[in-house]
Amino acid sequence: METRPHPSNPGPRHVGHREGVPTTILLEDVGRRYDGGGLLEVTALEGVDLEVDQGEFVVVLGPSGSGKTTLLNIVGALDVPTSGEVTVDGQRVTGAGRRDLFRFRREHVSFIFQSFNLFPALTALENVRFGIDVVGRANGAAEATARRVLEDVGLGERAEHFPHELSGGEQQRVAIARALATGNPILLADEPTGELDFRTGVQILGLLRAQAEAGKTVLVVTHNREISRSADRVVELSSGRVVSDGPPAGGRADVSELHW
Amino acid sequence: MRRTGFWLRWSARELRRRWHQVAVTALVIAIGTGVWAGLGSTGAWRIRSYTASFERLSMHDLRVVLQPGSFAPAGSLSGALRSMEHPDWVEAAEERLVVSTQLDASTPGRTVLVRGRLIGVDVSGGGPRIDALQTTAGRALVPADDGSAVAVLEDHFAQRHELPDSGRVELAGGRTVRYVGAALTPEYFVVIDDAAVMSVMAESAFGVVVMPLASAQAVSGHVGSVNDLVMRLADGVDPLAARAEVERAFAEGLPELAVTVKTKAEDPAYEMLFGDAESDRATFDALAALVLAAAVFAAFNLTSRIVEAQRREIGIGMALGVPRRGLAIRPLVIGAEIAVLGVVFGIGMGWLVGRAMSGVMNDMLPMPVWETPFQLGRFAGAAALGFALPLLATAWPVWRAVRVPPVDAIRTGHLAARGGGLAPLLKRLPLPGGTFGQLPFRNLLRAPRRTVVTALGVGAAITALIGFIGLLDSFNATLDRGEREIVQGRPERAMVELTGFVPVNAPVVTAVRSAAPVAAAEPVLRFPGLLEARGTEIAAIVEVLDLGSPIWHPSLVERVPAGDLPSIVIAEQAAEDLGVTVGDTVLLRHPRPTGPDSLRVGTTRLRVVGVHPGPLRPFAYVEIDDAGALGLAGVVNGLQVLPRPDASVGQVQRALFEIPGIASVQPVDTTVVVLRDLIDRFAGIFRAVEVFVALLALLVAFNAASINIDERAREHATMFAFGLRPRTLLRMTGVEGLLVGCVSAAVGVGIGILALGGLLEVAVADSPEVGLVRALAPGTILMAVGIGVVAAVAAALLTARRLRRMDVPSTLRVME
Repeated sequence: METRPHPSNPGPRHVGHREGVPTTILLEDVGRRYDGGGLLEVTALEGVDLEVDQGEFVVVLGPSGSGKTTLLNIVGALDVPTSGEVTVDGQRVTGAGRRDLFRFRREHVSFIFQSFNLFPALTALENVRFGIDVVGRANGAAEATARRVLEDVGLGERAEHFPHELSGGEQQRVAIARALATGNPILLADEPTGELDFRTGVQILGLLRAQAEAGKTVLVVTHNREISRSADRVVELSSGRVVSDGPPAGGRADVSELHW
Repeated sequence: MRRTGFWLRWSARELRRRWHQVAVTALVIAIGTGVWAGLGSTGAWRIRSYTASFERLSMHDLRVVLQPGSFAPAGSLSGALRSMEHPDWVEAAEERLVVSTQLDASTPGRTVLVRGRLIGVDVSGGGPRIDALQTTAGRALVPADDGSAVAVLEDHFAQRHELPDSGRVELAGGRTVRYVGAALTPEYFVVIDDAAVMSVMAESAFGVVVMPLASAQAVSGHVGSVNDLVMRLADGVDPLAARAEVERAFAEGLPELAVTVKTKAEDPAYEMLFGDAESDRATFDALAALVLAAAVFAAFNLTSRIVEAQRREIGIGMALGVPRRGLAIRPLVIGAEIAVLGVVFGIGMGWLVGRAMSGVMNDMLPMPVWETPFQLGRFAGAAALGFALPLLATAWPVWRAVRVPPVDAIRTGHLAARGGGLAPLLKRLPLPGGTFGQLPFRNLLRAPRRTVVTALGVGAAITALIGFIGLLDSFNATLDRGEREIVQGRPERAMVELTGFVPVNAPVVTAVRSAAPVAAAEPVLRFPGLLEARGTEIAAIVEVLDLGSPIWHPSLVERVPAGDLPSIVIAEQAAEDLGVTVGDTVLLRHPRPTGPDSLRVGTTRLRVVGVHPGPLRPFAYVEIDDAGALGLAGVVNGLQVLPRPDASVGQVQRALFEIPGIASVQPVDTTVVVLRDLIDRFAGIFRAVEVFVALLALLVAFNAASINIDERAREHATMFAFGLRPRTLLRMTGVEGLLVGCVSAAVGVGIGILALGGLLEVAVADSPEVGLVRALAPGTILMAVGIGVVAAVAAALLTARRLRRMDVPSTLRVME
């Protein structure tokens, strides 16, 4: 995979760009079309340009079918664009080989899913440890690191519980801990509060917000406009195109001010 | 009608989506039904083929045999038939000359000196027409050969000793005969040497030479004489009624001749072949049932898992208000479609097994005709089972699914997540490799019912394998035990059989003792008898010899001192069957001379002074000093000899072959060699089935692994999203397969050992005279474990392509 220096001034910058802060995610004229076997061709993304700085908390907002999950998958190298260029954390994702994409995901991004996707046969602690084992950076301290991360998300007491013994909010916190445990700089969250009640959802957003403040780049995909109020930036998609990109209308709100 | 089409279309799409699992499940059913039909048809095929073969070569319906040593002028035997009340009952009759001989068919580097039989037949007009010859090598006898020293060899003997298509053999009296080919003939479709201890499949030590009648008469010194008459009866004639008339005709027409008239059914080969076909059926049925059970179990497991995956769709239907009956239709149609596919495949598999069995049987027992038609009735039974069980397997999860509250059934995401099953049990178990090391073990325990059912599915195939090979192991262990007992470290020992009873100081005995290559010789008396104790009677072959002989004597498992009664040593199996132990007494019914040329049956009570470990139940040994108590003092009919250190058994055979009064000289392990031949031939059948059983294990494991991949697709996609290397996931899948394989092997071997016990009981019921040793060779267990493990690991690895081609984003998006 081709390594590129973090662009310090690649051209026209997005609103709110902080001078001297490297760009972590860079999408240039990205498009994604799905070929439905000749019968149907679906354009999920078209001409998308996007820059996200290190430590930014960005919400990608859009209705169902707007292409927001495709965007997240392309940033996370789960999917590849059919046109355009993608550079994430200094790695040129476009054109990378399969093996490189696996390594990229292992070393640069971590996912948080709407349905949590915890491994039911592993305890909360082991689920978190999985994130460490995948990366292979633990140097013999995997369990201690996993326990610490779990405590960071407030689940130190629930370490030995299996997923089905945890509430939805607890499961999502374990999922976040698993993503954090990898130590990767970019968190990609797909509707992370979609299956949670409001109160729990707010807690989860608070956790994600805190990660951004700690220097991680957080990209959250949601259809919930209220959630976007807590972001540094809101990128709105419609029919696969970016229709707006900027700070939330009315300015950034604290997660405690959110309501849905 | 429209609604039916709708359900069929929907279920067909479901089948297409899961085509590989459906195809494999159908194949599993096919193997079960195919092997059941194929293996289970062997009994019917054998009977059909034997009947056709005997008919093809015009097996005699009646045979007149003169007393040994008696001869009649040619023409007199067939002439006697003219005085029958219904001479038209006899459609055709041919006179023959049948004499015992010795046969030297040695080739360079290989000594073949055996007891033999010379048969002179009518070759005029392309004969013999009764008990005809089917040429298998070289050429047939022709009328021009009559009077020349030309012969054909019986096919089994020629094949066994790998004799060339033509050559020379030497008969007793030093007469050399040129043989021009080999042929099959009905009386020797299976070679039985009724004078041998191990009479069946005796071609290694018994050869038959067929010559034109005049040639045989000249070679044997019985010019113009015959002693055997074979007849074919007209259609519809009762053989027993005809026999009675023939007996009367001979009594009236040739009263000076003592004759025995035998029907076809009393012919030893005919009787044995049909008897064996019937008795082997039970063993084959048991083996086929094992394979069918394994397949049925696996199909049940696989089908139910395929249907279980549709529980959510059933829940949606319930939420939409579709009646339960309506909801059940689609999965049941899927089950029915799998069943139909399995049965259709099964017809092909049955045909394939039939072809394989046909080839194996032809090798095992060459016959003029082998017919292996598809046994529709047999297959229909298996097909019904193969059809019904997948349906039943469908019904169970459907029944469960339609009882789940709709709200639970349609629940998605984490709320639908199941618990970890028994996985928490391993929480404290330290395993190397972090979470990657833990996951395979946890995955096994998170759905214990499925793991158990999969292990039982693969294990059932291993059970069948253990049953099959264990049977061979037991036969071989029995033979090994027999060989150890017979040989006792002296494979060069040979048994000399005399042509009859002679005084212990007869010239033939002296000649054997003084023969140049003989180092030591001891007289032996061998005769058939009956042992009786506690109301049970068993056949015995009694050898009277020195129980302390330095040449050979039976090794004893238990022994007590001889008391006031004559002593006998019997086989362990005989002791068990008679219900006696050492020290008890038994009755022996045996021939007792009443004059120089007359015998009568006498009964003597003997004390069992020991039991020997030989597996052949009939063998019993009486101390030679006690021969007088049996009225047999000073009489012998054989010798056991040891060659000099510088001489071989072959040299002994050749030296003694020249001495008049000797019937045969055979190495002591001849019986074992014959039996090993027999087992090797049967092994062919088992090996043909082994292939299908191993395939069955692989298919079951593959489908289980494939269904696992489907069920865990979301977990795997999550792992990939985190960048887990496919090879790491594959390694975990492989380890899980290894664990399943080990559990399956343990289950399979455990149940297999029990099944083997059952199979051996069936085999023992067939052959009570053999004390079968129950054995399972370590190699067999290793192979079974290996097949289970390799099948499970290979099946897991076979899913690699699917893992590598996984569409991760789509899989992550799917909620269930």
